[in-house]
Amino acid sequence: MLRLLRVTVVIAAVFASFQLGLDASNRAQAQDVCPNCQPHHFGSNLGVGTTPVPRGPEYGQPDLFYNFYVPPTAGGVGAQMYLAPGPVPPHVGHTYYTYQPFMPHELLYKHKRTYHRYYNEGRGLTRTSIRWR
Amino acid sequence: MNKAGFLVLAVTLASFFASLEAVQAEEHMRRADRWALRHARGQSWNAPYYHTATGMPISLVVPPTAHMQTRWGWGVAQNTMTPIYHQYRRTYPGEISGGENLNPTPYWPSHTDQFGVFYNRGPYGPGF
Repeated sequence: MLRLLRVTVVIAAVFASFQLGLDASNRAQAQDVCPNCQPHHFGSNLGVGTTPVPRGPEYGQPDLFYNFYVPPTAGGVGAQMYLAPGPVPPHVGHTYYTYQPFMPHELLYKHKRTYHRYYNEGRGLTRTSIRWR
Repeated sequence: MNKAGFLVLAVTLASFFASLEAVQAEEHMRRADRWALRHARGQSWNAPYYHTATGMPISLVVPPTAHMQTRWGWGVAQNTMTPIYHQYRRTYPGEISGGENLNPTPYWPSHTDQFGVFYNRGPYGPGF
């Protein structure tokens, strides 16, 4: 029985490693990295003998809307996924998809993804797991 | 080996092989995507025909899991079945332009390409 337990534990460890590797491809950042933001260091304003710097609430900087493209290659025409086949004039107006999981191209096939975002200088984590079935 | 032990071992092995199969399928998909991307760099997603309603070729978005397309034409041995190489990606390629040398749909179409609608696979995710 002990031998069986040992074998089971080894197999479960291998299985767990494969499972972790599989999940890694289904993660997504809920926002892009802000290139102009100042880096925050953990505890940087808590030094001895210094006055803590007050800081306000932090908000994510998600994209309001982002598009996907097929570049023009070999003399062809480029394509964009939304507002296809071409952008409309500004006076026409259009609708943004501000909640990325609702974008229509996500509904085309069965899959799952986890969006995550760190906040409060890395102390908090917001995670949203979504399955499209 | 008692029944409970055998059951635990069987479930563990079944889970392992199921996971292995999923990982292999994922690896195969990545390899196929790399090949498709390489082919897509060397050819256009559209034939030189525009759609009658828009004046531009129309990209018909299909799931990223779609692989093959069939194109029909008049005549013997004119039907082809080819991979859908092109896929939408996040990278902004610059201003979307072109379309100067496109032809209208002929009065008597002889190929499905002449209708100006072409398949492109959707992206896998926001960071793709």
